[in-house]
Amino acid sequence: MSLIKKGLIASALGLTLGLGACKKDFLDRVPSDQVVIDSVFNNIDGARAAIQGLNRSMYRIPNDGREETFGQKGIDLMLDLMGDDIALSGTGAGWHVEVARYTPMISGGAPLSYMWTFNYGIINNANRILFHVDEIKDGTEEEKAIIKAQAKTYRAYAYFALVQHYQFPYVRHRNEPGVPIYTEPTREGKARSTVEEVYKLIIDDLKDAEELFDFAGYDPRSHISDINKSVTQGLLARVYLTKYDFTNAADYARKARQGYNLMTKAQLTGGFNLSNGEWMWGSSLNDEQSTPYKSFLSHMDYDAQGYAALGMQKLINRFIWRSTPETSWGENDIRREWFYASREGSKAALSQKKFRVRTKGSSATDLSYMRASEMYLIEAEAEAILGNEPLARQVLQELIEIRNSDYDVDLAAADQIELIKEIHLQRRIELWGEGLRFLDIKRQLYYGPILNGLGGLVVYTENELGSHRELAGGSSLAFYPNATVAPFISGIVNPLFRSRIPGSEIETNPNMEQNL
Amino acid sequence: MRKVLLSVCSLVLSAHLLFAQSGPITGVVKDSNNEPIPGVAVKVKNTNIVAVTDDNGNFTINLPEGGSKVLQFQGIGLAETEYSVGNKTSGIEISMSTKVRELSGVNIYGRDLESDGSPVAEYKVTAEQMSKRPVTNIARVLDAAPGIVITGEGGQPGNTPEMHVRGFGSLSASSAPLIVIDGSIYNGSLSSLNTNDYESVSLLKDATASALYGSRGANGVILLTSKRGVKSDKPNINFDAQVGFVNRMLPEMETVDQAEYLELAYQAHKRQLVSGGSHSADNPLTDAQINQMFNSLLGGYNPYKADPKDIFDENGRVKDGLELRYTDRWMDEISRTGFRQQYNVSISNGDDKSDYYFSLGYNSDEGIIQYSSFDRITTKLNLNSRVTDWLRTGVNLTGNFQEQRNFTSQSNAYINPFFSAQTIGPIYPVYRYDNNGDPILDPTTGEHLFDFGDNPDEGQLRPFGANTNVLASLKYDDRHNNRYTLRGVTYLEATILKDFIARVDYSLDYINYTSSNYQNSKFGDGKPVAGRISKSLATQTSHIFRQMLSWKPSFGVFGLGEHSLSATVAHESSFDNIKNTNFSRTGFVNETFREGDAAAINERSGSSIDELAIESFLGVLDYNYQQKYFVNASLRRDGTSRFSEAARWGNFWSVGASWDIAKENFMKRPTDKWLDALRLKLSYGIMGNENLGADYYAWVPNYFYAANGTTPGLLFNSWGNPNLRWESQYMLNVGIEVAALSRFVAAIDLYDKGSNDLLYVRPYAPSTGIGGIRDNVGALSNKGIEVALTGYIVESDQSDGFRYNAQLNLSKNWNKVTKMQNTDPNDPNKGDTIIGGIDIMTKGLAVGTFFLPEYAGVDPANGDELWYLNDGTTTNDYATASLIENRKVMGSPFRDLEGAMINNFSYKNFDLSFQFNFGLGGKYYDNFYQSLMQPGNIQSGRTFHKDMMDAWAYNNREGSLPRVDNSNANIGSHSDRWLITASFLKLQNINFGYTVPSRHLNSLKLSSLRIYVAADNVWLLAGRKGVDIQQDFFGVSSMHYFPYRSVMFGINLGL
Repeated sequence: MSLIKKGLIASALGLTLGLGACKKDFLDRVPSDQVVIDSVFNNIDGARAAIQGLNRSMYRIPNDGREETFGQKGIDLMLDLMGDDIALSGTGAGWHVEVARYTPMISGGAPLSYMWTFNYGIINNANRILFHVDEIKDGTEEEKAIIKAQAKTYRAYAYFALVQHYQFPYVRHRNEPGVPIYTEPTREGKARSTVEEVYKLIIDDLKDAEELFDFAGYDPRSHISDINKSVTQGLLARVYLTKYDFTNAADYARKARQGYNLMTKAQLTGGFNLSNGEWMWGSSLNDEQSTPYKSFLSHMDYDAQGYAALGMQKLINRFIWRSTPETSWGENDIRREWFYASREGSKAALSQKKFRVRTKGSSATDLSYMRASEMYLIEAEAEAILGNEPLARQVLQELIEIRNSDYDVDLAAADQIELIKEIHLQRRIELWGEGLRFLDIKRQLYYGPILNGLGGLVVYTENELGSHRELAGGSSLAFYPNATVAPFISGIVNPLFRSRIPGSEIETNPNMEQNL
Repeated sequence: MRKVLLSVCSLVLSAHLLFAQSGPITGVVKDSNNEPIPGVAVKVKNTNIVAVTDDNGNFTINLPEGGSKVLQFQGIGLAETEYSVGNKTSGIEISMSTKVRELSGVNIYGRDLESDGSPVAEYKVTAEQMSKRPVTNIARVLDAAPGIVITGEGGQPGNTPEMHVRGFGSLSASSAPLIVIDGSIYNGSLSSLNTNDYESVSLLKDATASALYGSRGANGVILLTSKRGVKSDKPNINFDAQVGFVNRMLPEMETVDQAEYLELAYQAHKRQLVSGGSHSADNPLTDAQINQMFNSLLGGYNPYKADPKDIFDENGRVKDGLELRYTDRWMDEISRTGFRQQYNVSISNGDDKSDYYFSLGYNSDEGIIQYSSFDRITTKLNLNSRVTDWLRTGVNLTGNFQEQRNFTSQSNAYINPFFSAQTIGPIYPVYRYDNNGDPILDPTTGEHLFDFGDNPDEGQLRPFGANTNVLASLKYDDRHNNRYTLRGVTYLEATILKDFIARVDYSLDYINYTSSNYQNSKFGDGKPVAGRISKSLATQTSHIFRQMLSWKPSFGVFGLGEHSLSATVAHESSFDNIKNTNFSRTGFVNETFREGDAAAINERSGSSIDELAIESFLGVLDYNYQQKYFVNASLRRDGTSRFSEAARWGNFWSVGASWDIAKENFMKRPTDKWLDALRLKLSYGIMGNENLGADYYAWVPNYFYAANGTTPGLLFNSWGNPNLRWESQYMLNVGIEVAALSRFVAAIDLYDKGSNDLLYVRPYAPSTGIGGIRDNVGALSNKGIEVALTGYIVESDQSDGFRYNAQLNLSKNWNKVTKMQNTDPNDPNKGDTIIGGIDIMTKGLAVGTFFLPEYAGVDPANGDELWYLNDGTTTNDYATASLIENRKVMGSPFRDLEGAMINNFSYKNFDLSFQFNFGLGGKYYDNFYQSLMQPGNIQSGRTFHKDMMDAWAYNNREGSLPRVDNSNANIGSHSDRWLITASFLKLQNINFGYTVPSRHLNSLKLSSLRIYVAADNVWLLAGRKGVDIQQDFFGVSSMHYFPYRSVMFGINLGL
């Protein structure tokens, strides 16, 4: 009896042990909020999702503990704060103070190092798409061509940002180290290619993309964030202008803006948060994809009740606001409404209202990365420099008279030099706060010698450049100690105009060489 | 037929004393199957009279005249039984049941940690000791243990402190010790546990104990043992009540007052004007310039009932006799003395067949900051039953609820009261005042209006957090979290065959954690969106299913009592499932609605599921000879779902030995008089760590979801690392225990602990597009010595005489990085150093070693801050000073010595105890002080430390500190100027109690009564007044809730 019972217990135990021993797949677990890599490029939908990921990356908010890093607009704002057209009302919560002092240009550190990781993130994703797209079994050749064209445009876009930021301008520095080039996924850090090589890749990619769009024969755009041929051409216009290839710059600027209208007066003063017929490329953010604090409008618009309201309102440089002749930035210019002429409540005098929240309490907004008016200004500038003055005047007039019905380009600028200056001024006004100014300063550094003795073209004096440091309260942000900004005499290379490579890259990439 | 060997008489060796005998008694001993048992020792209680049963279970024994009539029966493998003879002289039948080895309680995987000869290095705190500590978190009772470092982080009521055992052993994997309750791993929070429910808390430090938890024991194990019912005539009912208060222990940092602040502002403004060339350093500021200073620099705030031009004398000093408009102090307004109460009732009992323990506890702690609080309800039922003589079962149920009302501890958030109240300039009031200093009231409610720092009508725009008011945030916002913890552990244990015990355990933890953050619609973050509610819900279920088979042979030599052997094999599967759901909605009708359904707009929402599975096999072997020589060994194999199939299994093992030298014959003679015990312990083992926290899938190459607008999108996330494997640690422990003169006990442990294959992020060049992957890189070493000395210094023959005993615990740990990741196969030195803002990690130095420019004082010519360069010269250019070649190694945050001393006194029915904790050496980086010494603080509306009054200034050119200056980015940068010693002395607790003598209790029908007063976190001496020196392992201050004092009055009574 006893033996039987114990036998039963023993077998029950054996059974339990058997049950307890786990199934073979017990230890195989996969994430719920990520996609295992093999399943992405199974089909054309996966590749399209990867392109949409790139579209998202333009405004995706990284979790890096910084408040200045929120996609392309975050970079734009940082660059603008190193230019001379934005003054600050105070130090606020402290974000952007380092940038305004150029500290990260010297150190290569945060938050500007985001420029590096943001753009190389785009390059890596684009490379993976280009690497896998031909393996995809379904999808037509046309569909694949579109995906390739979009990926190549993104890749060129990122390299263009990098090469401008980490080296002095192409014109005099084409043989100096640019940035490392990656055209397929790898873990190995590479050495820097020359500026010339990087520009070659950029132009090759953009030209390829243009052809691929033509091959596909249709505009893939279903949303303003989708890259199409005009975005590619707009980028080509920017690249050629920066390369001082003015003929191509004018040509592509003209091509790029075909089919786009200029913003109406109502649209111009509507807060810049709804895409319209002038916008060539942008993003639409819903509430979920933005945040109340870490976002463009938080930093720009007092009414967003974010960082601008915490004491760092963005003001227009008073030299631009006050010193321009009536003829060029007239009192009736609609763009004067982008700024408070005097203090209104807590809103500081000269603080901006160009960029405003669409609905109070909502972070949903549209962001613009490229507008047709920039193409007009590129075309005008390039044609003016090429000596095609009448054409330049015509293009400029066409653009500005919508903003100011009193505008007469011939009154504003008597000769070629004045015309170029006027185009630059209009560019500063029109594209204020859109992230182009700092690179424009760099780009224009060598106009003097190129335009044969027109050194006077550069309108910034030491004083004026310093002016943007001035705060509303009379106190000022300090320059980096050794950063007395030299006048932009041609040929003088100021270290503040070329960023150091981030320390994390130097530490981890044995082939990397620092900007010293 | 049971055969128990006759040699049990060795148990009852010598029967020398002869009593007058009252005559023989006869009887028979049988087992539960009614079979006679031979070889059972029969003993007359309290005598040395013994007999042994014969082959038929019969015995005959003589009772002494007038002596005990109780017989005791003992046999190997049998439960000891007593029998009162009464008047019987023959025919006595005794039934003895098989003794069941208990595997629950202090046994882990069949190993008995309590046995004297165990080689385990352990520090144990008993229920009695715990009862003297009025702490709400059970982890705090371990703060005297040698080898543990507990930080004050999370001083907020309801937070759990962080702990390291024997130095810092892991980098990115968790360094926290594993928590085990009654043998089962516990995944919940220590803050959910009721201290009263535990019989003991043990800290296991060496490999023999920790390797049993091979997969997760690498950073030490905290073992909690639940109380159980004990056999008694009547239920044991215990009631404990404590009420008391909590108040600020840490003194405030010394900051400037209003007048000093204005004087510094004057200097800052003057500096600005002088360096801009619009003013001469020799002239006082003009009235217009002073006006400008108030209006723009100070945001329009004038704390005096005086016109700005009448405030300063020509030296820039604030004139005497000015009357203040307001005297609000932010720290005072947000602080309070909080009320704390704690009640606990427990009922327990047991008999031969079963035991139970039930408890119910309630705890409420208000904290020292307004609107913060912690409430907890705990309940526990521990039930064990011997169903038959071969089958036992039991269940241990715990159900806890807790609610914490809290606020963010993010260092630079204006809604963090510790940041705002400690940092804001003293001229900025909490409430609004008119020019006469009269309060401005809300016209409808009559309440004093809060000042949000943005008052256009008064021309006020506060440079510090305009549009915020931390007190109003505390009052009108609502941040709280609820945690429900349900834990059920059941087991079934059967004696099968001979000497075998089989056991099945199942434990389930269910943890439901909801955090809720309501932002009001009147002001602050919730204002632009008409109020916001954000909630996140995490539900974690953890299952552990375990099967064990133990063998403790009783045949052959093992039955003789000289050799003792036990072996256990087990299989365990553990599975965690964590479900997260969150949402955020905005747009409320008004303040009374706060739930998501009442909000108009969905701002965001999401959900995810994580899973973790671990499977383990293990074997344990224990052996001893004559209770003198002990050997044990364990082997464990663990697989985890965190790693790829190829790399997921790890092998962990340990061996240990100990020798009870005092039991040796050769020790008997010379040491008879003074040596009570002498034991030597030695162990070595390999343990593992796979705890990457929320990173459950580090090996998987993957994309993550990145929708563009409403279109789904994907972005590359990680290469993954299929080679990722277990981090392993070896631990060598040598220990010696000495007890002498019946008075002194010393335990000394030496250890060498090394972490290999450290889990860390191996960085890739960011230009490849990704930051890096998890990898096994580098190695760490911790070597140390721990000493625990206990002295019964004053003893007494009288039971109520004066007694004093003391315990001194000391530990010293040497931490060192022994290997660093290498990023370039061709260059062994590439990537061997990681330099942070203030620290360096490299081979040969401790983790967190400070690496800073060296402060060289002030330039007397202009008040510049100076630093040394590596050639000994100085510079005022921080960019140069902070270059790597100019930085210096400035010591480590780890102290040279950590210690605690506990003193216990008793006299008559009074007892008194107190505990000091102390640390010597090490460096502390006082970030907070640094932030109070920034030259541009005026500009951002922040206050200064009083030391700033010694800064160089136009009216203080001999000043010994760098100047105040709104536009200097150099001064105040990271350097060794901010390092102070990490040494401290802390009076951790005092307890004074009175136990009412039992003779007074009978009339009250009470079995015990004790009243006491206990204080915790009483007093601290540190390197700077106001520094929370134990806040962080790495010696860097931040804006956390600081630890506070509690004084509790309590009563404990037993029915």
